[in-house]
This record gives sequence, C-alpha cells and structure tokens, in this order.
Amino acid sequence: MEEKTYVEDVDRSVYDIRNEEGDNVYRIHQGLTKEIVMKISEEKNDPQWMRDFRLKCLDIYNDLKLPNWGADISDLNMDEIATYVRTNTKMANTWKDVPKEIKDTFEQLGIPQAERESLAGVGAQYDSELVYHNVRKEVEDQGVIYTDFESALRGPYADLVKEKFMTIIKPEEHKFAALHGAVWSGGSFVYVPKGVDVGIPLQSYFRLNAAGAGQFEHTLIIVEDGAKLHFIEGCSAPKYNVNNLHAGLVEIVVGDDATMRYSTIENWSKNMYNLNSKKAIVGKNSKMEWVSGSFGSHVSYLYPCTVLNGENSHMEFTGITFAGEGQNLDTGLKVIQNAPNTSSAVSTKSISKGGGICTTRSEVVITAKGENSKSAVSCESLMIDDISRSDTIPAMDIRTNTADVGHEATIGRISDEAVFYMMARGIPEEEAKTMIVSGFAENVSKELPLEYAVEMNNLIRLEMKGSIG
Amino acid sequence: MEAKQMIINQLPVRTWNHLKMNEAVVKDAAFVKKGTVEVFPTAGLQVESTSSVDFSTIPTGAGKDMDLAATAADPEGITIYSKKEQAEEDFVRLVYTYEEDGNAMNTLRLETADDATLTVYVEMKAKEGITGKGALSIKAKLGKESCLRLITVQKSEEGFELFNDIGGATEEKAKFEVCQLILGNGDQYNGCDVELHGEASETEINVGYAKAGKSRLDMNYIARHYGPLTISNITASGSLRDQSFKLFRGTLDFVRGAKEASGAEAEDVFLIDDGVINQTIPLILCGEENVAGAHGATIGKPDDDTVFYLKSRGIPEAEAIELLAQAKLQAVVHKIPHKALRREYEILTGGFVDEEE
Repeated sequence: MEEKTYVEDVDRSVYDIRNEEGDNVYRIHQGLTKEIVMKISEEKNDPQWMRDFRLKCLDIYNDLKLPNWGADISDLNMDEIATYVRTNTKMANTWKDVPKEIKDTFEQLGIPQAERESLAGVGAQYDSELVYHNVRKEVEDQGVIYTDFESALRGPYADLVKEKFMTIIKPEEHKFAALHGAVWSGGSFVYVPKGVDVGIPLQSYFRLNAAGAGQFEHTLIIVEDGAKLHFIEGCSAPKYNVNNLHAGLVEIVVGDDATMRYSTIENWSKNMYNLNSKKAIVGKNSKMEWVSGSFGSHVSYLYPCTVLNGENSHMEFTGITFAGEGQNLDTGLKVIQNAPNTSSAVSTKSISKGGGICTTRSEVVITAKGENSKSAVSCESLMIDDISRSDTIPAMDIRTNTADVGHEATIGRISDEAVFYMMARGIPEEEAKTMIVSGFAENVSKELPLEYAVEMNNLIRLEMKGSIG
Repeated sequence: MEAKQMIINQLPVRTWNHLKMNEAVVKDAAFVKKGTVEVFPTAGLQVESTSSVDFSTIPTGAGKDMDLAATAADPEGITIYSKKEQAEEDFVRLVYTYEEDGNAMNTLRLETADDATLTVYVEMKAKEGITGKGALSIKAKLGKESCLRLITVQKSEEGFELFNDIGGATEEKAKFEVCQLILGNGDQYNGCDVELHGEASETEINVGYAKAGKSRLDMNYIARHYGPLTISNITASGSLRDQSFKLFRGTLDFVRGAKEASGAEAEDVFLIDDGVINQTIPLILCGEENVAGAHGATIGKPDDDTVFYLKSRGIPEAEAIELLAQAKLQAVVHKIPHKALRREYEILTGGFVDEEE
C-alpha cells in the first residue's frame, strides 16, 4: 500500500522546557476587574496618567465586543487568565545576575549566544517583566536608547513615551488593544536618533513560562529621520493544558528618509491565544519592512499594519505561516497608503497540515491622497493533506484613479510535475518533496539573519516520508 | 410602504468590519408587487413552463433575505424547463420593465434535463425618472451533461435600484454559463452562487460593467466546488467614472471532496476619474488538498504604454481611454452567442458595431 506523504510537526521540544512556579513568583489573581488593574498599576508604580489610562482602557475593553470574524476565541475566558506574573528578581544587565533557572531557559533558547555573536542589544522578558536588558556600548554611544519600557516611562524620554503611548494603536481599535492598555507590563523602548544606522540588530525575546497567564508586553520604537534599525522579536512558551494569552502591542514611528525592519519568529505553544497588534507610521522617503514567521499558538490573530503617511514611502511584507494539528492561525497584514507615490510589496505563504487551519487576511487601502501609489500582493498557500484548511481573504480599497494595484493568489498542493521533474534528475521522491516545501519557505528565510533562518528552518523541519498516495 | 431592511451579498467568510465589505444593507426593502415581464421565445424553442425541481434548496448570491422576499412576492413566477438539446439559434428572451415608482420583485426558475441545452436572455430595464427597486431572483438546476447559457443585461438610472440574484446547481458534466452586462447610473446589486455538485461540472461567469455618476455597484459571486474535477471561472471587468463606487466580492470555495477541482477568478478595473471608489475582495476557501485555485486582479488607471500607443496613432488621450474602457464591456458583449442580440447590446453599450460581421 502506498503511504501518504507525511510532514512532521514542528519539533517543539526546546521550547517546552518549563520551570515550576516556586515561592519567588508573584501572581495576580485570575480575572479582569478594576481592582486587578489597579493592583497591577500599583505593583508597577505607574505614574498617575498611566493609572488613569489603564482604567479608561478597561472601560473600553468592557464596551467592545469580541470580533465576529476570524478564528473562534470563545474558549478564551479572561476569568481564568492571570494578567500579571513576575519572578521576584530585578532586571539584570549581565546574564550572571539572572536567576539560574531563567538563565538556563534563555541559554537553551540560544539568546545569550546570539547576543554574543550577532546582536547589538537584547531584552529578555520572562512572564510579565524584563529579567535582562543590555545594549552594546558602541551602540549606546551613538545615542541609541534601548531599554525596558518601565525605565523609559520614568527616564529622560518619559515625555516622549507619554506622547506616543497607544496613540499609534488606540485602545478603541479592538478589544484586545484595550485589554493590552489595561494590563500591559514589560516590553522595550527603542529610540534611534537622526542619521544613526544601527548596523546590527536589536532583539527582544518574550518567554511566557507561567501556566494560565497572559503576557502583555509593550514595544515602542522610534526611528528618527535618516536612521536605520533592524529589530528582531522572538517569542515562545512551554505547553500547558490550560489557556495562555499573549496580547502584546508594538508601535513604531519611522521618520523621514529612514529604514526600519521588524522581524518576528513567533513560536508560542499550542495552548496559546496569540492576539497581537503591531502598527507602524512611516514618513516620507522611508521604508518599513516586516518579516514574519508564525509557527506556534493555538489561535493567532496577527496582522502588522503600516500607515504610509509620507510621500515616496514604501512597505514590504514577507511572511510565512505554518499551521499544524490543533492550530488555527489567522495572519496577514494591513497597509494604508495615505500619501503620493507610496508603494507596497507583499508576499505571504502558508502551509497547512494535520488538520491545521491557515487564514491569510489582508487589507490594502490607497486613499484619495495616495496619488500614483502602487501595490503588489502575492499570496501562496500549500495544502499538505486533505484534513487541513487554507483560506485567503484579501481586501483592496482603492480611492484614487492614479493607483496601480496588482493582486495574485494561488492555492494548491505540491506539484506532481515538479516532483516528477526532480525525480527524473535522480532526486528521490521524499527528498524532492522536502526540497519543494523548503523552497516554498525560502523567501522568508533569506530575509532573516542567518541564525534566525536556521531557527526557522528547524521549526519547519519537514520530514517527508513514503510516497504520495 | 413598510420600512424593511435586508442584508444581502454576504461574504461566505467574514473579514474586518471596518472595511464595510462583509455584506450590503438594503433599506426600504419591502417588495409588494411584481414587475412587468414579457417573454419572447424563438419559434423553434421547445420548452415547458413547469418543473418538479425543489428550487428552495438552491442558494443565491444575494442570500436568504432576498430569497425569502422573492418567494413571498412572486411565488409562481416564470418557469422554463428545457427537456432536450435546442437548436443553436433558439433562445428565450425575457424583458422585465419597471415603469412606475415602488419596489417590484419577480422570480424566474430554469431547468435543463440531462443532455438538454437552453439559452436565456434576461433584460431588466427601468424607466428614467422613477424611484424604487426592481429585483429578480433567478434559480437554475442543470441536469447531467446539460448546458445553460444565461445572459443578463440590466440598466437603471439614479433613483432606481436593480437587484439581480442568481443561484445555480449542477449535475455531472453540466455547464452553467453566466454573462452579465451592468449599465446605467442607478445603484445595482448582483449576486450569483453556483453549486458545482456533479463531477466535472463547470461554470463560467463573465461580468462587464460601466458605472458613473454617484452610482453604486455591489457584487457577490460564489463558485462552490463540491464535485471532483469541477471547474469555475469568474471574470469581472469594467470601468468607474465620476464618483461611482464598486465592490466586487468573488469566492472560490473548494469543499473537501472536490478533488482535482480548479477555479480561477480575475478582475480588471479601470479607474477613470478621481473620486471613484473601488473595493475588491476575492476569497479562496480551501478544504481540499488536491485543487488549484487562483486569483488575479488589476486595478488602476489605463496602462500608460497602451494609452501612449493609441495617442501615437493620432487618437486623443480622452478618446483612447474611452476606447480602452469600452473594450472591457465589449469583451463581455462579444461572448453573447446570437448575432442580432449581440449587435443590439453593442449599440446599447456604446460599442463599435462591425457591420461586416
């Protein structure tokens, strides 16, 4: 009997290392009430404006409904989620000062090694708080600020942080943005001064260890005129049999003539609801690049949004989503081209297997101000078996007659002709199929720094066995 | 008139609400009378006016609200049942006219027996200056290896809305061809949902439109692949002028079991004037591994190189753009199988009439 092509699930063993919650952990009561929000604010010693803001966000959260589109999230019960969990340790700027069990976790995830070899700075968040943050001196000397968000809230950039905080993604935008505003904790603040090119990337890594908890880190990145930055975000969690929630929020301001690249390898565990929000506002002659790999979580809602407000600004999005058994990953992007001569180029790929569901959802809006703007969108989906699902939902809203928009989408299986061609050249069938699937993901991996490309390739280690039935 | 609201043209899968693309909301949607209809069969056409098909099980593109309104307003309607292969020159032409203010609804039921063929022309015309709505619900059941060609031409002006709602279901190797011309500056709503049940059955939908003024065109085309080896092609092309608005929803739905099915949808839109709004949402829904689905869209101003080429041949730019916009419509007109009607529609759409044809 012929054996059906089989694709191995993502090997998650390295991410499933977990530390038992000991006495040195502070965990807030489960649920979402005014008292809990006030308690978080108190724990974090918020300034008054932030305390007021949190309460306003809670009201907005209570007023907004759950989305009536997208993957089902009705099983997510906020009464069962602890929104703030922290280990009783101070943030360190050397790894030797990080508690051993936490340091070991990050060692196994390869973060300190990556920092030594290829990063300009690292922030490591464990549950609700940063446990490590460091930036290379030469980068610091250029005037680059890379710090934990709580320090930024009180430091010399406090006014700037107050001015920008949740103005790019407003709490009214959706229920989980409001939730974030109410219970946010941790995250990073990055400021790149005018004309500074941060040659090597900064990385924040978010690790959620606690069962039944939420992580709500806030990242604010400001890239001034003529500056250049590559920021990498990594995230993972061990698997539990209770729901976890991630509702982080990333706000990016890109000045004029600047370049920003934001790369994400998202590998949450399969009990995670990943309801994340990211948005960038881009100035003239600037470039915003998103590189996104979504491999983990039980349910994901993830659509990085770019608002091209500056003339001649450009956005590129390269993304891959891999959904296996028990996963419903609703990913994609939004771009609003709101100035003349803007352009966007989008390439998304998705792979569904083992009953996994991939939905690629996109929105391209060219407003009346976007004269002579262009957009090219390409969506490709690969179905590995007939128990999975793959949907493509691209929306385009064009409001100027000088726009030029092209969109193409394809969906299908591994091409028999391609397999046959490779077999005719002496490549065994299993190897041919592995090469085809790896090649499918290549445009994302080539956009990542080498070590992250290797990580991504490990994540989608597709082992093809047998022959197709 | 009773104030009633209908939700129509819903996307099979919802997306972000802020886009306002998930559905269309129709106000004052109580249909209390029927429109005037005249039926012109060709002499050789041999059809019957009754059918045993339960058409209530066939969904339409506009959806349940429209279906319920149609069944209530015109439960008998007109039924055309073709039991045999008709001669190539034979067809039936139905002309629905709206000459008074108010909302009118009609139903049309079509059936082709196994191996039968049928060509149906439907015209929906509203007199200028009237206000209200004209709606037509068309449902079709295609037997094995049968072919149904449905050509609809609709025209209304500002103040009068037209609703053209189609549902179809196919058996093995049947082919359902739909060709539509959407004209005039009245708001128009078109829905079409074809369920490809039978193995190797097929649908081809070609839509041409020209919208101007402040008119709105709201479309929802769905090809649902249930059977193996089924094929669908949806093509919509047209032009928008002034402050007109167009929303194209197109869905290829590959249901598990539709092995080796293939579907393609393509949209080509000219945005001629500043102030137009174009919305496009082409869905591919896939629950089956062994299928091929593709979508392509080109939206924007007429291609600079083509305009330059025409200008270099002495054609003024405005005329060149007009010519290119016309070509979008004429590409659909030229699919009309009967010469006399093709010429009539060429004139109606302002196209070039080739006397030598």
